[in-house]
Amino acid sequence: MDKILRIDLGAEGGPKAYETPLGDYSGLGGRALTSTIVASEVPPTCHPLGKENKLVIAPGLLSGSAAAMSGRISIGCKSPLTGGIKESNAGGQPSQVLARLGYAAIVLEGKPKGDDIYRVFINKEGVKIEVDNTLKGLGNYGVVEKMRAQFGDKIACISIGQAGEMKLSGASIACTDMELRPTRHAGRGGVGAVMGSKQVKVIVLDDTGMAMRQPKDPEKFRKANTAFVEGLRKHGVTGQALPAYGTNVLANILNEAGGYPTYNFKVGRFPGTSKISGETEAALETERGGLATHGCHRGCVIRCSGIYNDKDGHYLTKQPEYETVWAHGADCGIDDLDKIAYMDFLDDDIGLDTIEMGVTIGVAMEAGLLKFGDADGAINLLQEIKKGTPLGRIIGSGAAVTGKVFGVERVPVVKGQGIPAYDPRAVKGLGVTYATSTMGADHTAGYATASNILKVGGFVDPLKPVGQIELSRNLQIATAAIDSTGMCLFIAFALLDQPETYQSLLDMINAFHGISLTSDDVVALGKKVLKTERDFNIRAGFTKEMDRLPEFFKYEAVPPHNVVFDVPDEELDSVFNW
Amino acid sequence: MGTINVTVKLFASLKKGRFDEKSFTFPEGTTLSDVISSLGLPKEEVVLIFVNGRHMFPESTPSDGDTISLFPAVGGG
Ligand code: SF4
Repeated sequence: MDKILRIDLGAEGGPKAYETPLGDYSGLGGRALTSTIVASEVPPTCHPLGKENKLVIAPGLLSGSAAAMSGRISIGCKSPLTGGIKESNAGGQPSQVLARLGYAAIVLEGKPKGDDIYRVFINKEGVKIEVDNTLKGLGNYGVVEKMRAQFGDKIACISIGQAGEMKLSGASIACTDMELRPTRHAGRGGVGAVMGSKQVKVIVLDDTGMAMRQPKDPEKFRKANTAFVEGLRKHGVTGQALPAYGTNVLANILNEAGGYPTYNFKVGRFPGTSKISGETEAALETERGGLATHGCHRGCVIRCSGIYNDKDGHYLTKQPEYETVWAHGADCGIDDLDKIAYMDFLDDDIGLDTIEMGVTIGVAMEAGLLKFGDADGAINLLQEIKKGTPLGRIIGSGAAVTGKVFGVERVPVVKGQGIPAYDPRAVKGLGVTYATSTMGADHTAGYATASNILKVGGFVDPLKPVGQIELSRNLQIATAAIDSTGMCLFIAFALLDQPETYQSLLDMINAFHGISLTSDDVVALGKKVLKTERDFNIRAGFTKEMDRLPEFFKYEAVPPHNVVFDVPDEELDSVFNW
Repeated sequence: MGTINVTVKLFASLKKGRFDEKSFTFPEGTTLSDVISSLGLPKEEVVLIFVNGRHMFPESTPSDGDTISLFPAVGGG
């Protein structure tokens, strides 16, 4: 992992692959690496779909090793959705495989002439870039099936569906899971549109013949990994709740807390919650012969995912996540879990961000294009995207565009990106994160729900403005650091409550790389990543006035607690003063 | 001494072998901690207590008509 694979799609005579040493980027992984490359190599004012933008795909610092939870991948670029820097994070197999192939990152740069689309194949022999126009117009499932037929099933794929090919701002990039299904998505920020602009349909990775990455100090590494896994197993969230019910266990709790955005953020409780809750979802999966506990990549010990079968017991999709069930469910007034799961499948296949699509359809419902609760109408809109009709392209461009086209005032976005499944008025710490994150509205960027609602890492009253700035700031810093390790962010639940588990993670990184990171260094890394990203956004033209929630959150009180978002603007401006 | 009527809702692992939602009558002054013990719920498993959608501590006393929602440790995101 001491080199970067660069593919210049615009090279004379057709796309060319070349390698560069890590150089100044050495010691960086995951989000730290994608954001640093984007900030130093991409002109901040460039067009996101132009030749100057780059798509950076990076495994984490421990990916490809025996470290548990180490298989997340970061995908970075200038975002066509927000116009700022983007790091979108996904699970699945590609991170481990790419790391074992020896690459710290793949960078797609330039822009092809003509309209051919490309397939990239990487194995121990090297890199092959070939025109494959038979892939044109295929969904992710179709693409992966073709790759399996051609290269066998010991591969991992990174691909785009129709939405990416159409360069829609809601387009995601799919990563295959352990069953070689394209179900793990770098969803947010339209990263799929950037891959589409490079005209790369799929990157196929095959690590046959490559060894697992070995630690510098194997004994210390093994011990630290064991302690780390023990820590995850003994915490109530990572050891019990996430494996048993998945992320959607949150539906009931956010609903009880009055922060479950319903009918396009009109109220904080949804009458149909019990029909779409994590408890219901897990029971249904088990009853239909699916799986309620499943990992998204090898080496995951939390295993928050699952397999969702249809009523006849056939595979429909992976277990739809909390945010997906909320976006296509409560936010649109839909309480039919099978239809929500079908939309999850369509999003994965067409290559769309489930959060953005749910929020967008909620806005379309607000506009009167269809009624709240109309599941078939919602499915239809996704089909329109697949067909590439003008209406479909509008919806596929996200909530901000759709709100504008249909003249809607209440559009829940920050920096153009849809607000996820926690009402910022009733979970105010997360409201601060939505407003100020370098990523646009992103719950994972500083998951204040932990202390606001779940009492993990302390408790800060979600309904009052006090303490939210500090909470969000500290979580944004910690998240930027964890995203750089390539670890699944869900380890944070155990890390926040158990200092010894946090220490075992540090020990593991240190033993692997032969370094001596302290917790102060980790904080410094998190701050550096955020500063790099903020700086890019400022150079791209972002101002503090963009670190704000849509104004209706300030004057429209949300039931049942009838609260507005009342963290003062001046305080929002202090989040990055540390 | 008077009594209070409350609704108790259980979630995730807490409702296994118990109930989803049930009404109870308790003497006035009953604490949330008393409610939890009376249901036979192990105290350490009840991590989150909401009364009418607001976080409460075990020492607080519910009022007539309150809805008490109990959760084990949960997370996601
Ligand atoms: S905990 Fe869930 S999201 Fe994280 S790595 Fe495991 S299966 Fe993937």
